This record gives sequence, structure tokens and C-alpha cells, in this order.
Amino acid sequence: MITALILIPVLAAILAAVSSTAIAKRVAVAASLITTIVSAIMYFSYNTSGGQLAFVEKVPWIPQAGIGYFVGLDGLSLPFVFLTALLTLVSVLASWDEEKKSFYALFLVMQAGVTGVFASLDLILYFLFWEVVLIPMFFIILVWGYENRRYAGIKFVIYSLTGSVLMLISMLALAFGVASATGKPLSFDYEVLLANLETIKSLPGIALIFWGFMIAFLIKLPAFPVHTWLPHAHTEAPTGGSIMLAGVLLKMGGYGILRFNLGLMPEQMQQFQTILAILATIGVIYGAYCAMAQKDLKRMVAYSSVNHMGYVLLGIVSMTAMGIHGAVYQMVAHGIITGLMFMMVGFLSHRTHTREIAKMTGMYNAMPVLGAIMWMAFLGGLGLPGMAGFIGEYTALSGAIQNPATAIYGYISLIGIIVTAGFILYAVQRVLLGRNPAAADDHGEHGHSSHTEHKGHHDLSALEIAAAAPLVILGVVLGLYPALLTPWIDGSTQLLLETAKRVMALGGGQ
Amino acid sequence: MFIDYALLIPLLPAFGWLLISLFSKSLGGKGSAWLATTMIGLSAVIAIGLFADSFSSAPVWKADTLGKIYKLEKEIHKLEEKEKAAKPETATIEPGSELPKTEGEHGAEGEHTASPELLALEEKLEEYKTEALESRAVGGFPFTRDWTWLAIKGKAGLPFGLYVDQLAAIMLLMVTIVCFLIHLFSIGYMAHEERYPTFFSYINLFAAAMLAMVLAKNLFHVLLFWEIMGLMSYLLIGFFYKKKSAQQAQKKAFLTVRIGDLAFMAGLFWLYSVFGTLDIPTLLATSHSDLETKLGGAAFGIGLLLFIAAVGKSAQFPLHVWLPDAMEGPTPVSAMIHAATMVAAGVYLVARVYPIMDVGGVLPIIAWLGGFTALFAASLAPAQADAKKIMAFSTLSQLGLMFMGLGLFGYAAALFHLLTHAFFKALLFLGSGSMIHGAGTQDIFEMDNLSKYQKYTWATVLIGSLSLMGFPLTAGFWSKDEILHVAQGENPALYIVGCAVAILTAFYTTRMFIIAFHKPKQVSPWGLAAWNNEGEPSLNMTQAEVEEQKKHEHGHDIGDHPHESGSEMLIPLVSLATLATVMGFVGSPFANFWLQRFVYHGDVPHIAPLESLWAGFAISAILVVIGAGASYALYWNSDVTKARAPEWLTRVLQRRYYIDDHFYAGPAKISNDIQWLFAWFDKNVVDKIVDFVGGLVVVLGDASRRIQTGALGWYAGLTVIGGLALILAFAVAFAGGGK
Repeated sequence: MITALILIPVLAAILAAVSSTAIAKRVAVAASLITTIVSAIMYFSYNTSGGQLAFVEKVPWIPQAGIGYFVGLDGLSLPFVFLTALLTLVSVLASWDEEKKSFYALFLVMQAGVTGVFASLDLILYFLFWEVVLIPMFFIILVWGYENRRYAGIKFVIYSLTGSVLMLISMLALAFGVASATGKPLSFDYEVLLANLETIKSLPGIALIFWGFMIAFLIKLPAFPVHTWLPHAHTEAPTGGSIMLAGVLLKMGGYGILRFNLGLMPEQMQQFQTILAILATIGVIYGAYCAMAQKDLKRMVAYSSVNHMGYVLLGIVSMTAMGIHGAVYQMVAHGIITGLMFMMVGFLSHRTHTREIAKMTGMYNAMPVLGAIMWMAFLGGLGLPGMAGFIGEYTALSGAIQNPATAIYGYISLIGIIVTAGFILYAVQRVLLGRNPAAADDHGEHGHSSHTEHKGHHDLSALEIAAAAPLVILGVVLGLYPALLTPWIDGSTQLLLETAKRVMALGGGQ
Repeated sequence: MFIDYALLIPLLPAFGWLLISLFSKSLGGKGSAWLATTMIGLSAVIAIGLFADSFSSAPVWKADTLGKIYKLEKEIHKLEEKEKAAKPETATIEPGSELPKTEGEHGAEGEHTASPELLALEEKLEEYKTEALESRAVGGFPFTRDWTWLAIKGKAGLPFGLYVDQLAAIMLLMVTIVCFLIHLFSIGYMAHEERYPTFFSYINLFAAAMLAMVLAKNLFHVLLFWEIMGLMSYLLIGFFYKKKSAQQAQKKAFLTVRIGDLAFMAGLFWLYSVFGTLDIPTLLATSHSDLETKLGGAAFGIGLLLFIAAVGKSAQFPLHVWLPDAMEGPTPVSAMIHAATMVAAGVYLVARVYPIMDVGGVLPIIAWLGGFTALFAASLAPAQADAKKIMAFSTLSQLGLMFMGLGLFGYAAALFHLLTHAFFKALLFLGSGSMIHGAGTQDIFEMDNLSKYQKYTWATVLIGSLSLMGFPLTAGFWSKDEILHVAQGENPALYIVGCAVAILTAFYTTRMFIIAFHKPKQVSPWGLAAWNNEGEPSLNMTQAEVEEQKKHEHGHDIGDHPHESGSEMLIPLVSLATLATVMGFVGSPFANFWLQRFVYHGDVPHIAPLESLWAGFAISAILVVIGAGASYALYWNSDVTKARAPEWLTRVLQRRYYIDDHFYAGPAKISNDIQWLFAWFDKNVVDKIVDFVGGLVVVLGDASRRIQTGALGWYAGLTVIGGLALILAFAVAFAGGGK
């Protein structure tokens, strides 16, 4: 099943690359639609009660080096696999007027890569998929981006590669360390490592290994102070690229921390809890204030991701069930809502030919449907109850506060909520509200000639509404009915924490 | 049995919102309006049924026994005072516990040396208490229903449920009925607006959020719907979204209330981490002493945080600034916000978590802040020329009284006042809407002898005004007097504050009534100053904007002769006037204080018998006469433009003691300026360091330069080469380390 999820986009990408643009588009839609449906079926057929791995496929690959093709999904990765397929579909629909077939092929390659990242349970396999994701994103920014795309693309790659190198070194060190300590053959198998947690705990240089992973994931997340690639990459990427970047690529960071840092090295997680919590808190407040200062609407949304991902990190480092719950929920919610935000900003700037907040006004009046969905997406980004983001933020913070060691950071992070409300409302007021200077019902004295470019804005097309609809619906449904997601998260979170607690308790006993 | 349909109470209007949002084009304006009104009407029917169920299942208390208990408690109290004075060493009991309600218990525990006389009295008291209850709760009251919502294994999680006790039942009744009448009124009032269906979809969801909040069994869901309500008020205050002042007002409202919401969240986090659940029935069922041991010192913090949330929502000082500006919304919205929804939610929250407030010792703070806001706002109202602003300040003031009542253990009194206030304030707002509609202005000075043209409006606003003043036999009289009576027994200083508020209320209400209804049109002495806050740029309106606002609010006939409103507006007015009057009697001595016996907190309701109230009634009446008389003397026969307070006083009051200008502008600016600092830091420090490090990697720099010149094919080649190199590198590494 998982292999099919990875192979379908790859095959479709090849097909798209050799056919015409018109066919490439349709192939991309078909492939992402099929994978969305397949992953949805997998999602609902998963037995949530135990939180165990399912759909496991394990084939030896390079047995001499202990590398295997080992994929499987549990409640922590399933939501993201579904989200990846869905957001690919949505991104392709939102980029329908793109005229190069390679654009669609790259999206499909990226989908395969991201799915692989969330599914692989072999460290080297994970790493390979991780790298596969990087390349298409790089080209999407570089070729289809806005004015500053080169700077942004290269920055994105250098940042990511730095993280990758550190992660690779850590992976090698971890596997070799375990192999030499236990005397067993070298293995990158996640389950083998999981069986040797006590060994890992006392490996020499384990703290460095921990940080090697952590830095790679913090860059991806992104967390302060390694977030600066994000505003550039987001601002310059085309709409579809931004949706994928915010929707699923950032989640690779949070997922990685859960799976590797918390899953394999809980002791170190505990040890560095404070510093990580501080970074998370800075991310929340600093990200929100930076967003407030932006004049570029897309950049503002990009910085809001720094703020939102701060809650994720805080939830994870609290190491409480509720906090991890909230972190995963927040990641899914952010994928949906920020994806929608980027989509709407993309649609809007496509029509106005500007992303500058100051140059837009009265857009709700001019385009009610676009305005309404954008308004809703922005309010979702603000963490409004009734939308998915609220439950994520609330549970993440609540979890952080349950752990006395991180409680203070949870309370401080509350400030971020009001700042976020401030900049979102500011943007809504400037861009959406007010009277559209070119609207037909307007009085003559307001229609200055400088605003004539607004004339002839057409509201969302049926296709664009179709692209936005799944995200709108999911954003609200998950906001009102969390039982569609929480049982999945819960089972695997409990398993993860039980393991972590068992290992840490052993450390205390010795 | 109606509890099985209780979920429909919020769902019906929410469904109305959905239908109108999706199909407003095919429904049309009137169709949408009637759909919304029908939905809330059906909710009201279910709420009435649910109330009837609660009424028949709730425990019933005997009025006469309660009266005896009250007298007995007084006696015990007096006796204790005497004995305490006689024995100074026992006088060390903390002064905060001098409350008649708990005094009996306290005395029994604390003073072992009590005289036999006292002990006998206490024994008798216990006896009365056991026989005070006429019937116990039946039929599973309070009603609850549960669903799984967000479950975390081994933890309480956040189950979704409904909880209907006396408080919820009476709130539901009030909210649905008042909202229904406001919906009905809006059908006519808003008929000329271009976003007519949108308006109804919004107020439908607004009502739905309030109803869901009241029904919620878990404090988390209270927060959730509380914030949805905040959103709807934000959207409705900014309903005229093209107008700058409306945009500012809606943003101000949302952000100010959000400060309270943050406190709410923090309070819930704290409560959850010490108490382990946010379940309301569990909280209410936990006894005073258990709660004390479980929460410990945290009770004060949690209570205070939750109270701050209420302060934000109910616009108490110092978070009151949004409410007067919220008048930018259409008048029916103001009525909703001020009567049935928003501000009532704050009082509801404090009443809901009353045990925490009690245990944590937050009640004195609530009482004092409430009293202060009541006086503060009442002092501002006489300086306003805008009918809606006068009402806004009166709401602040009345809510202050409610909080004062809550803080002084007058739980039932405060809720009684919340109930009567909802009816008469909705009446007054809709009445002023009718006045504005007829006169084409919001400025009471510009209204032209309205009593001549608007007989019904005149009569209904008169009823509302008398009720607001607390004129004897009106609804406001009974409930306000309850609060004053409580204050008299608990805290003489606050009692005086309450009396001052009563005088001021009578004064400004009469002033508004006389000037609007019985004075010819004149140039408003304050002109635009009354409309805007000079000096506060966010609210500056130009003359053109004011004209435009008037055009927007009453699109059809500006400058026409004043006229009476249509029947679709008068029916809700008359209904509200009737209800506002009737509602007063359910808590009056005529009904043996039925409401106070129904909605009570603690083990035995605390009801004063009629005999001890006469003095209070008389004083209340005198206060009204003083206030109204002063106003009458000043305005009735004189030229109102000349009968004015000194210039400086007017200015200070109109600028709301400069609080908006000075006390908020500073911190807001500092908080706002942090963004530039952070953005600069991000661009010039964090990012520069990164760029610098990146620049050191010369090889990569070279490569990137070459990449920029390349074509797509080149990129693809690089991808393949890169991938191969990677795999090769691994192979080498494994070959070396494998064995």
C-alpha cells in the first residue's frame, strides 16, 4: 500500500514529463486524487486502539550495510501522508494555468518524497527521501518563483543541506554506535534501534547526535534562530510551492523530532527541554511580531508559520500526552489553514499583481467569495475556535502547562496569541475591508486613477473554489469534531510516551 | 425530556446561518430574515420546554422557612458579635468571613467556647435548613448529556456535553426570547441594508454561539463558544465594513476582549493542571473544603484569571473601552451585545465558576471592581449626546452592579438583575433604534419632540427607562433593590456606591428621555464632539463621514419628518415592554422571591423576608426621585442647550477621563513598536549571520552562481548526478563499516 502511494506519483511524474502540458495536468490531478483516496482509505482502516505500526513492508535492500526498505505507518504519520496527497492535489488545482509540464512532474516527485519521509522506518531510507524532497522544491522556487527566487532558492537549499549533513552524520554515528556497543551487525532499522534504547542512552557523544538530528529538524520546522530561509522561500515560491512548503514540508521537522529525537533519545530530550522550550517560546512571540512588521502579505503569512510552529515545538518538548497531541494536531491544522492562506494570497496577488498590503484595499467588496474564504483562512490562522488551529494551539499549550518544567513557557507563549490576533486583524482590515476603489457601486470621488489596476477583478473561478473547498471543509470539520483525528494521534502518542518513560525510568534506577 | 432536544437549541440557529450563507441568493432578503427568525423562534420553544422541565424537576425551597433562616442567621450574627466583643481573644477570626451565609457554619467550627444560647440557636438553624427543602431534585436534574469529543487515554480529555441546571435553564430562556424579539425587530429595521441576508446569518450564529456556551458542560467548550461569540460580535460591529470607524471599532472590540480570552485560557490551563478536569458538574459537586485542598493557593490565581476574562467580555473597567465604540454596529446588534449575549456571558462565567471565586477569595475584588465600574460608567453617561452611547454607558454601569452583587454573595440577586436587565435593555436599545429610525439621527438633541410622532415608541421607551432607573414596581426596581439590599448587609461602602449609581442612572435616563421626546429639534450643543473622540485618531470622523454614516444607517429618508416605526418593529417593542415588566415580578415579594429560590448557589438560598425589605424599597424609591427630579428640574422647562455642566467637566467626561487617550495609547504603542525592533533584528542580525556563514562556503557559492545560468536540462542532470553521488558515498561508507 505504502509503496503504491510512493510509486503512483513517481510513475505519474514520468508520464507527465514525457507528455504534453494538457495531459501532464490531468495526470497530476488523477495521480494525486488516487493517492488521496487510497491514503484516506488507509487512514480510516487503521486500528487506532493500540497505536501500533500498520501497513508495514520490509524488504532487505543492502543487507551488508544493514539498510532495508522498511516502511510503515502509525497514527502519527498517517495524517501527514493523507495531508501530503491532499495538498498535492490542491496545489496542482491551484496552479492550473501553469504552462510547463515539468512543473507538475516536480510536484508529483515531491509528493512521493514527502510520503516516503513520513513512511520510512529505516534511517537511510528516511534520509534519501528527505533529500528527494529538497530537489523538486528547489527547482519550483528557482524556476517559477517571483523576482528574488534565486537568492531564496539557494538559501533554502544551503540551509536544508546543512541540516541534512548533520542529520546524516548523526544517523551514521547512532547506527555504528549501537552496532559496536551491542556487538550486533550494523542496522539502520528503526525497530532495531528502538529495541536498544538503553544502549543509545549511554552512547558516547549522544548529546551531539541528538543535536545533529535536532538542528536538521529545527531548520525544517523552522524554529528561531534558523528560520530565516522560510520568509524568503515562501515569499518567492509560486502559490503551489508555498502551499506544499507550509502544508507538509515544515511538518517533516516536527514529525522528525517526534520520531527520532523523542522516540529514540527521550533522555536527551528531557535534558535539553529548557533550551528547546525557550527557543519555542521565542519562535511564538518573535515570529508573531515579525509577521506584524511585514509589508508583504505573503511574507506576513510566512512569518506566521514561525509563530505557529513554535506551539508545535513547545507541545513536543513538554513531553506530555496532551502537548504531543496538540503538536500533531497543530501541525495538521497548520497544514490545512496556512495552506489555504497561501492559496488565497496567491489568488489575490495573481489578480492585483502586488503582494504589498498597503496597495490593496476593499478586496472583500470587490471579490466576495475570495474575500470570504481568505477572511476565514486568516481567522483560522489567528487560532479562532471552530477552526482546527484553535484545538491544536490550546492542547499544545495546555500540555506545556501540565509539565511544571515547561509551564512558564506555556504561559509566556500566550502573549503570542494576542499579537497574532493583532497582525491578522490588521491585515484583514487593510486588505479585505473598506471600499474597493474600483467597485461599481462606489462614489466617483474615491476612484483615484492610481487604483485603476484593480478594475476588472474577477472573483474565484469554479476550479479555484474546488481547490479551496477541501481545505475549508477540513479546517472547520477538524475544528468542531476533533474525534476524526485525535484517536489516531492518541494511540501512537501513548505508545511513544510509554517507551520514553520506561527508558527514562531505567536511567533513574541505575 | 426536552433535554433530548437541547442540542437543537444552538444547532437550529447555527443551521440557519449555514443555510443563509449557502443559499442567500435563492432565499432572498425576506426569506433569509424569516428563516433566521424562525430558527431562533424554534430554539425559544425548546428552551421554554426545557425550562418547564427544569422548573418541575429542580429542588424547591419553602419561602417562609427561608425567611426564618434569614432572621435566625441575623440573630446568630448579632449574638456572635456581642460575644466576640466580650472575648477579645476569639476576635482573631479573619474579617473576610463575616458573611451571614457561612457565618453559621463558621461559628459552629471555630468557636468552641460559644454560649449555650448561641448553640441552641444554631441547632435550630440546622433544623430549619433540613426542613427548608420542600422537594428534592427529580428526573436526573441537573440534566446532562455526553459525547466523546477529544479523548486522551488515562486523562480526562475534553468530552463534549450538555449541562442544564437552574442557571443554564433560565439563561437559555432569556437568551432565546430576547434574541427572537431582536431578530423580529431587525426584519423591519434592517430592511434597507444591502447585506440584509448576511446580517441575519451573522446574528443567527451569534445567538447560536451564546446558547451553545450556556449549554456547554465543559469549561473548554465554554471558552470555544465564548470566542466564536467574540468573532461574531467582531463581524457584526464591523457590519458596515466600508466605514473606517466601524473597522477600528471592530478591531478594538476583538483585541480588547481577546486580552480577557487569554486570561480565560491561562486560567483553564491552570485549573486543568491542578484539578485534572474542566467538567462543570464535577466542579460544582466538589464541596467547599475539597476544592480548597485541591486547588490550594491556585484558586485565587485561577479565579482572578477567569474574572479577567469576564471583565473583558462584560466590558468592566479597565477593559471597558470597546463597548461604547461597539455602537458602530447596527442597533439590533447593540441590543444583542448589551442584553442577551456578549456582556451577559461574562456574568454567566463568573456565576458558573462561583465556587472557585468563593474559595479563592476573588469575590471582594469582583465586588469592588464592579462597584467602581458602575459608578465610573454612570458618571460618563450624562455627558453623551448620542442615544446609543448613553445606553452603552448605562450597560457598563448596570453590569458593574451585577458584578458587585456577585462579589457580595448576592448570587441570586445578580442573576435576577441580569435577567431583568436583558429585557429592559433590549427594549431600550430597540426603542432607541426606533427613535433613530424615526428621527433620522442618533443625537438626542437633534430629535424633534418625538413624543408627538411616536406614541408607541414613547410608551415602550418610558417603560424601559423607568425600569432602568429602578422606578418602583418595574422590573429594574426589584432586581436592583435586591443588589442594594445585599450590599447594605455586606459592605456599607459599596452600598453607598450603589445608591450613587442609582441616582445617576435616574438622572441620565430622565435627561435622555426628556431631551429626545419632549424637546424640539435643535443644533446639538456638542455637535461632532459627541460623535467622535477628538484626539484619538482611530476614531476621527470627518463631517462627510458622519453624513455618510447617517445615510448608511437610515438609507431611505434622512431629513424627513419624524414618524412612527412600522408594526414589525412595534410588536417586539411591546412584547419586550410586557416581558420586562412581568419578569420583575418573578423575583419580587409578590412571587415570594421565586427566582432567587430557583437560582441559588450553595446549600440553602439566602432570602430576606419582606418585612426587612421595606426600608430598602423606600430608599430605592427616594433615590430614583432624587435623580429623576434633578434631571426634570434641569431640563424640563429650560433651554437644554444652556443647561449644561461647566465646559471642562463636559470635556473630561466626553473624553472618558482621557483613559482611552493616555492610559492605553502608551502601552499599546510600546507593544506595537516591538515589531519593528524584531523585524530589524531578523533582517539585519539573524539573517546576516546566516548569509555570512553561507558566504564562507565558497564551493557552494560557486556552484550556485553556475546554477543560475543553467537551463532545466542542466538541473535535471545535476539531480541525477547528485543522487548517484549520494548513493555512492553511502556504498563506500557501508563497505568500510559494514563488517
